[in-house]
Amino acid sequence: MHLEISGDKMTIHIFGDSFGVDEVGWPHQLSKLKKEKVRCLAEAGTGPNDALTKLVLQLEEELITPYDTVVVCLSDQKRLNFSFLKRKDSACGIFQLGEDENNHYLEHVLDDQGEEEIDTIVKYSPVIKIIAQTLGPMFLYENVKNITFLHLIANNFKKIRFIVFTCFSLNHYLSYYKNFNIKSTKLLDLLTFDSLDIDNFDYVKIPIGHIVGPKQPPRGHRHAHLLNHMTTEQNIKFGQLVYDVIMYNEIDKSWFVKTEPYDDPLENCREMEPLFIYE
Amino acid sequence: MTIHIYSDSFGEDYGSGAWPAELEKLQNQEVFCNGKGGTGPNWSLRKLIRHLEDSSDRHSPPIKSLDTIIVLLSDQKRMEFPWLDHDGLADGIFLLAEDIHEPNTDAGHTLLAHLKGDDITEENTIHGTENQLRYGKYRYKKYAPEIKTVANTLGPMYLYENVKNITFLHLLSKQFKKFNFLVFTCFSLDHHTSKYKNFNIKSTKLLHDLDFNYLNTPNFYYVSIPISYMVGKYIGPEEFLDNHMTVEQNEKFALFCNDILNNNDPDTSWFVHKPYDDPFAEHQGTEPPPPTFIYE
Repeated sequence: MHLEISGDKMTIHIFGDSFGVDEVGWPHQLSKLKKEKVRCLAEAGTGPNDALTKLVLQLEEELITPYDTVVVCLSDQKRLNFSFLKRKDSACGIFQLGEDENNHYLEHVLDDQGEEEIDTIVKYSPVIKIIAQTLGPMFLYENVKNITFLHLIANNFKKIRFIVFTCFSLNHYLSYYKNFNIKSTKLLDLLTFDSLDIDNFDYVKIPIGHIVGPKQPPRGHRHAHLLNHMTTEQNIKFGQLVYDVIMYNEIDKSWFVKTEPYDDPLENCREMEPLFIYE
Repeated sequence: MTIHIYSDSFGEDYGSGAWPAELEKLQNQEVFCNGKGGTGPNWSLRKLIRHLEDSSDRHSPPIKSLDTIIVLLSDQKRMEFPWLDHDGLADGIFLLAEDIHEPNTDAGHTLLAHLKGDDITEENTIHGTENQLRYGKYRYKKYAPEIKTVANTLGPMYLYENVKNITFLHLLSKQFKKFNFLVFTCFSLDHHTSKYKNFNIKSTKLLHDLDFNYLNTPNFYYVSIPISYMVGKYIGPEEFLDNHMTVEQNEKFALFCNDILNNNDPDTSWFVHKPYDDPFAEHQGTEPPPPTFIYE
């Protein structure tokens, strides 16, 4: 039995990072298709903990009500709300500072942040290392756990429709970070999530970054990208995709990129991870 | 078939009289304990994953079809700080960065005594090295700023860490359909975490409203009443083992596990409903009781 959608008071609530911002992008398209109001609570540069903290608060305060839809774009689990950051949207790449090798943090943030703030952050490098070592190998599964947690939430709020994406792969280079001391990704690679799909919960297994591809358009193409790393056309198609998932329609995969994923610029010091093949 | 236990002290191997040995007899299966006192959920889950990934661990029998996996999730605050002298010292560390452990109260003094440990004398160094290491936490006070940063950074979502661990284990049970999973928590899901100012937890409403019943499937069972609420804080003439249970409670707990594994309604009449708490949490007062346990 599918959720019955009726009335004009229902709302779509979006949680996540930059992929979920910009109300003139796919959220706007989704709002038009679904004929419902959209509330974007996503914030660029933030991680899953930030998104889930907001979601929990919204549920506790009953700001999300029966027959609403919740779309969660789970970002890179390494984006924690580090207490020493002045801006929580600057969580990207912080764990690189704790690494002895492959630390390209400074190359990427010099243009975006003030020298004084960078100096402050760099001073925390030893603490960043401790945080990574303390989280340890189980942190590889943090977004898996976030997905299963959202599944539990969906089972507790049966009248709310939940759509969950990850922005990047579930590993997203975490296993390359020596401080987490991850010996194997075998189990992570083997995991399947089909058992989670129920009437009011869908987890879309292909990461958004792997759907939309690199931000730089291929040579000869002049698509302008919005703040959410998608072209205008991709925003329209992604809005349709989210709508189709909500409505239990078959999704159009023909426009998914077939070359390489969009990737976090702070991770491009490594060989790019393989494109997720959607079956 | 084998029963594999992953746990803190509640599931450590204390030999004859302890519940794993009793369960071994009841189920007529070999029981293998991967428990260690003072460790946390990450320690247990890491070990479980290693065994699921690689059956050639020479310290543990391989997990085979129809085997049972019993996980006793300890306090989520028992994290594996890299400067701990050994992995059984994880409890109480977050308190070192809180202001709550040094008030001028009897409970505060008691806690401080626990954190500082006994005086190091020649006698207890020879006879009680483990005890010294276990309770001498004040040596880590110098790391308080780091501990505070870790807690601040983990933030309010850390309240749900064991909820996530339970749902993660549920996913594993869907992946490994030929293994039976029986999951407990040793303490409540909050276990005073919300009182720690450094985690900045504003509300526990959602946590207390959560219903886990849908998780229970033919090869997965989560027992919603923590073990500490079953066995309580024992004050009496009878001795209890290092797994915090009397010999009788060990027998009853083994029977409880046996009944669930056999799909029988377990006996809960022996539950004390007044929790045993670890020495680092007692000063915070007794937690409210968890929801009534109903076997379905």
